Amino acid sequence: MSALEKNGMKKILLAVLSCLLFFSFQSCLKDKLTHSYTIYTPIYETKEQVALNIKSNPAKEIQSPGNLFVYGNYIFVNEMDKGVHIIDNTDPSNPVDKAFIDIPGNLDIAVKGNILYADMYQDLVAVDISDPLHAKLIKTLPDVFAERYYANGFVASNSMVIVGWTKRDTTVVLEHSSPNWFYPRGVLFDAASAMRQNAAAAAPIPGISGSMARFTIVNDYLYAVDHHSLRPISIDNPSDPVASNMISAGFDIETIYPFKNKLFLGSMGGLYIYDISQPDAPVKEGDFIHARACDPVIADDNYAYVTLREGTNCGPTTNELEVVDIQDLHAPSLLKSYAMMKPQGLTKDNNILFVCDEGIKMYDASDPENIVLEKHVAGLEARDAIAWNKNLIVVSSNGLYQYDYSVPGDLTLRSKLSINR
Amino acid sequence: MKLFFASALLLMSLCATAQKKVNFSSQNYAGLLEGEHGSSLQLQTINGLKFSNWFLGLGTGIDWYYRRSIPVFTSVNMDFLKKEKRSFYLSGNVGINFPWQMNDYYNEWGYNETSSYSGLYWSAGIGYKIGMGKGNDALLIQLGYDYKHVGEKVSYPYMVFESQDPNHHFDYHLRRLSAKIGWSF
Repeated sequence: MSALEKNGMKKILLAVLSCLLFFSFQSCLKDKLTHSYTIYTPIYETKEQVALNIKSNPAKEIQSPGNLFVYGNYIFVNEMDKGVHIIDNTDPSNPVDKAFIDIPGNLDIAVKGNILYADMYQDLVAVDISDPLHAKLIKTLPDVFAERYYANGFVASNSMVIVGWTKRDTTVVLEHSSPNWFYPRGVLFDAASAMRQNAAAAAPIPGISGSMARFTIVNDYLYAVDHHSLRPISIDNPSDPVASNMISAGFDIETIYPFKNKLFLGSMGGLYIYDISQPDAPVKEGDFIHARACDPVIADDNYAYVTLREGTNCGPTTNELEVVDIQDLHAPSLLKSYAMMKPQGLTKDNNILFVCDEGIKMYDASDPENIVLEKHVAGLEARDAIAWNKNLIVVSSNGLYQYDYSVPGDLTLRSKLSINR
Repeated sequence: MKLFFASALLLMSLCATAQKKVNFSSQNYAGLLEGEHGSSLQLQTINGLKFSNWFLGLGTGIDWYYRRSIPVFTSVNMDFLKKEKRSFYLSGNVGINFPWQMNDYYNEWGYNETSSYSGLYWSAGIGYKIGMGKGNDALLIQLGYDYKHVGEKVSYPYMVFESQDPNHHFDYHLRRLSAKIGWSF
């Protein structure tokens, strides 16, 4: 080996050793992963303190609207987890926010006669609204609804009621590797076992709920669903509701819709039909299974209308409106599907079908096999709607809208009650 | 960010006032990144102006370490200990690290929406340049330290209750050693 070759070998060896020495410092380097989020800490009050405040309080701005219920000249709008707005809708072109009933943990509402029924976490409260501006609590039925679940094993007190949350931003350093986010660390995560609402029928004054409702009233019974069960509650004596046994009704149930003596339960996996000829003991009559999706449902004599929405907790599926033939309730079958963008609630008045889908869409549904789009009002994130008496009420993230649909094929804005988030 | 734009401005100024001794130069690297999360490949191309012992350029590339990303940066090199066509050089890069995937997507559960956001990128190293042939072609060997930051915002849009925080931010501060081999002309 010549001196030149030796010199070259030395340089190569030196380079290799330098690299090895260099990479030996790799163990000194640590990647840093941080997770920033908001910690929520519950604020409790005793049940007695909360009960004192379940009454008509001064009107508040609508911030997080949930389900809505129309009863006579009033619109009741749920403020998620906080209570119920009472809106005087005597003049739909000028709705007036009259009062707010504080009901912590409230998500769903129903009205029969002069009584408003609302959930308060696990309890059902009955509120006398014969004078909506002087509403008063008349009964609390404890432990009617399923318990809420929170992340990190947080368990809410049974003897106290959560009336709010304090918020604190925080950043934590995660240990090595990728975080498992399904249940974020350190965060109170409500798995949302709750979410209930209502509808109504056969009342002297029409009581109508939206398609996202998880309460509904049929004659002398209030029916409430949670993820897995259906609970009939007798309101034969409206001021003294009595809960019947809970019925295991299916999985991932989201909504309930009444039609005649049937209940239509919308779940993420399909549509369940229950017969309520015996009101305190509903019997499953049929089902229609579809792809996993969020699916509010409404129905008429012959057809059920279901919107399927992908994403979030709904699962990846197609966005569409499905018309299901329910003439044979034991064997519902798909009649036709219509492509949608991201549909949510829907409502129907005779042959006019409205679907919340990137705005509000108005269809001529006189032929279910050939539903025709007549009008699309974009620019609002419509969540649910109620059509009644030529007045369409739409709840969206930025306002409560009302439209006149008395002119065929046309929607005219009557009013907008703004929402301040 | 300010430094990035200041450097870019300086580079443009140099271009505008370029004199005869200022030449275009391109450096193109393939490298190995070693960090707590293992080994990954990186590719870079840096193009700019060379004048005297200095090189100032704009660079970009692909960085596969942990969260694939695209750094865009300004680069400064200074040659020293020059001996014939060989020299050592110091290198510094600073810029913005863009995530490879910006769009929202659902995770495997179909439950969350995630969007990524950009962060700081910087690196420093020492290299050895071996001139090849008669032109300005040279083989480049560089060892250095490399930092990148990427962030992810994970949203749970169905969390509609007050008890839930719908938005979570995950920030990755990734520190690596890099060994690069490249070619300049």
